This record gives sequence, C-alpha cells and structure tokens, in this order.
Amino acid sequence: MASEITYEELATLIKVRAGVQVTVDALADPGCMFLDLGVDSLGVLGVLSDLENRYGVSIDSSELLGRPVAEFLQTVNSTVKAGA
Amino acid sequence: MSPTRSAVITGVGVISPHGIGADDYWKALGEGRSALSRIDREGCENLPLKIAGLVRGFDAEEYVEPRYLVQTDRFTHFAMAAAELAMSDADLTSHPDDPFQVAVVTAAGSGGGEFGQRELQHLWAEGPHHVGPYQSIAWFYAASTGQISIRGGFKGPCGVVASDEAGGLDALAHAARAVGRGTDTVLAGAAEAPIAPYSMVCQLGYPGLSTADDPDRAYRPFGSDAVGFVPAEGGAMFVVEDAESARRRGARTRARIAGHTATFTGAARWAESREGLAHAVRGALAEAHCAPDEIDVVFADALGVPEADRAEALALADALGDHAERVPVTAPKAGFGRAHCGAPALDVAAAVLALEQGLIPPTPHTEDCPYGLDLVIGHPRPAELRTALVLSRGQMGSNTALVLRRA
Repeated sequence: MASEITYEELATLIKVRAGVQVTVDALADPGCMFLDLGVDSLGVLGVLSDLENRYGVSIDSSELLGRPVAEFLQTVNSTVKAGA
Repeated sequence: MSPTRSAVITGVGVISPHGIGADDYWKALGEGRSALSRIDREGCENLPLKIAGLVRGFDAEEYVEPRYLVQTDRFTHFAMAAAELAMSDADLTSHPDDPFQVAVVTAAGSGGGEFGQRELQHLWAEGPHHVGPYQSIAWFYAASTGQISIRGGFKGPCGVVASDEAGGLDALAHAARAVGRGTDTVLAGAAEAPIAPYSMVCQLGYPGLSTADDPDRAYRPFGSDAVGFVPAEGGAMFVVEDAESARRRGARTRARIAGHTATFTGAARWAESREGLAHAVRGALAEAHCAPDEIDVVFADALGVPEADRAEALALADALGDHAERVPVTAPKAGFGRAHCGAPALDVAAAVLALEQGLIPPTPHTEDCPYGLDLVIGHPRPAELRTALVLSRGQMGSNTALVLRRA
C-alpha cells in the first residue's frame, strides 16, 4: 500500500536527482515552480522517473512539465493512489 | 583575424596529473617530475592499458555546485574547474554586464565516458526506465561549453571544436577569431577524463597506445626506446581577450595568440603527418608574421611512436630549415601523459608560463633523441623566450600549429 508522497520526500529526491537543495517551505508554496528553484526539465524528469520506478506507476510527463510543484505532487499522488 | 583587434591570454586555469592550478603544474614541470603511475581504478585492473597520468586529489565540489555535478561527467567537472581558475586568474566574474561579449569555446574527443558507462549499466541491469535524463547531455562533447556558458551567463558566440586532439589548439584559434570579429572575452580550452573502463576500452584500438607496465618506460617520446604514448586526464582553460579591452580594464596580459593553422592527413598515417604538420607550421608562422628563426622554443606533439616522432622532426626541418637543429624542443607531457584534446591545452599553459619565466621545462623519462633535434632533457633550461611554437597531432589525423608571443 503506497502512502502519500510528502514535500519532505520530494525535497530529498530533488537533492539526489537534480542536485538542488530546497526547503520544504519553498516547495509547499502554492506558486512554486521547479525552474524558480533551479531545477530544469531534465531534473524534473529524473525526479518523476524515480517516483515511477519506486511506486510502479506510469505518469505522462508532458502533462507535468512546466506545472507548479504543488500540482506536480498532487498528480503524482493521485496516480499512485489510483494505481495502488 | 581582424588586423585591428589582437587576441591575448589573460587567464590560465590548469587541472593536471601534476596538480590543480597553474602554480603546482609549473613547479612540477620545472622540476621535470613524473606523475605517471599504474591505473589503480576499479574496473580498470584487467585491461591491457596499465600506465596513465591520473588527476588525483581533485575535489569537484570545491569548484562546481551540486546541481551541475549531478548533470555532468568528470571531463566537464575538469573544464568547469579550469574555467573557474582561469577567470579568477584574469580577475573576471560570472554574469558580466554585457553577457553577449563573453563566449565559450571548448574541444573534446572523449566525451563523458564515465557518466555514460554508469547509465549504460543501469540500462542493462534494471532497464531503460532507470537511465537518468542527464545522460542525454552529460556524455556529449558539447557539454563543457554548454555548462560553462549556462553557469556563467555567457551568451556570446559559443562553440565546440570536434577536430581530434589538435582541437585543443583549434579552440584557441576559434577564440582568437571570435575576438577579431568583435567579442571581447572568450573562455577557451579543453579537458578530458578518459581513464575509466569504458573510455579506456575505446582507446585500446589506437595503434600507438603504450601497453608497457613500467611508468618510467611507458612513454619516452623522441627516445630511441619509445614504445608509444600513455593517456592522461586533465586539461586547461584560458581567458582569451581583445588586447585593447584587456588593457582598458587593467588585466595582466600573459601571452598573445599570434598564428594558427590546421591540416588533416588521415588516421595514424604518421609518415604523411610530416607534410601536414610542416604546412601547419608554415601557415601559423605566416599569420604571426614570424620568421622561422624567431621561434625560441617548440612544445612538440611528441607521440612517442618512432615513425610519428621522425615525421615530427622532419616536419620541423621542412618548415624551419636549419633553425630546426638549433631551436630547443621539449615535451613536458612525457611526464604526465596525453590528455587527448586537453594535451595541447596543457602545452599552451606550459608555453605561456615558459615565456613568462624564461625557462624551458624538460622532457621527463626520455634519455636520448636520435632525430637531430635539440630536445631538452634532464634539466630545465633557462632561455630568453619571446616566441613559442606549440604542435599537436590527433590519432585521427589532424595536425595543428599555434604560435604564441610573449606579452
């Protein structure tokens, strides 16, 4: 049973996959964009494929690139929930 | 190049088996030290290539931010660190007032082999979905130019030279041309990191590769007992500037890029490289308005393959006439190996320092020279140096000559 992916978990993944140190507060800001954090589209793809591998789901990246972090996490979580 | 704008070197950044930074590099060169050693890296033990020049004690995090580290291979870490050192030497900073006046030109032959191998291992062990997206850029020859320009905010006419080992010199010529056409500052040079299992296997096909297992005997260019060359990692980056802009901002001019010519004579056709290299020397001298006897020192390509060494000596005789017997010739890379495109860049760094210091570093390991050249061996030689000729040939057939004048 997959649990909800938290902003803490996302921050750790961003650090590992994109090399960018971010705070949970910054991530949780509703208007927060990946690019503003210094995470480029390849970095977002790396985070996404890590989550897909971890939870055994497939998420359409074209829907997610360029979206705010909050929306990204919401989509990932609902997909994981539906797939679990 | 524009007759009114001349290109000068105002910053030197070195990452070499002799150490990090131009000071450590020059000290080791002057002492004629050797940094060649057995390759002791994981996965490399059972390959027929045994000896190389390894960059040890390089802490990438000291020079490169984590977000660039995860995106890039060791060869780009070297290039970014060397660029940082060159900029600091030239007293330049990132994010200039006019980003379009600063460009980046690098050369690379090996690409991101270590990064690529890691991702290929993910591919075979776990499947395509486990290959990281940064594989798409990290392996690429253009990665160093891209990342240096992104990091520094440099938006001038950037480029990548893929012209074999001699590209390390061609990158400087491209930089000088960009300066001639109106760009004030160009970060130019080359760095490579070809000592990892996959990259080493790629080199095993080079007919000139030395598989000797004694660091003292593996690479003795121009020697009667030469058995080929050994590879190295590292390289050098330079700040190349318009002489007038450099003067206006009070920068220390370290050398002038006076002439360059490149030719091509075919892969491993060393006898033919004689004609190609001689033509390159004549072209570079002509562009520099330099008579053969004005050349005070030659930094040779020095492949260490007898046929190639003979061809290089003959090319010097063809292009310089009688002066070829008198001019001091040296190959400091005999002490640390050939870093492919980084090799001629490291030679340019050595030449700039030699012109400044009035000292010709010796050719380590080599004990004799049967080709009628005045090869500097054993000890460094003090000399009044105004003009240096730097030569480079690639395994794939490129030949380049570059003339540097003292500032």
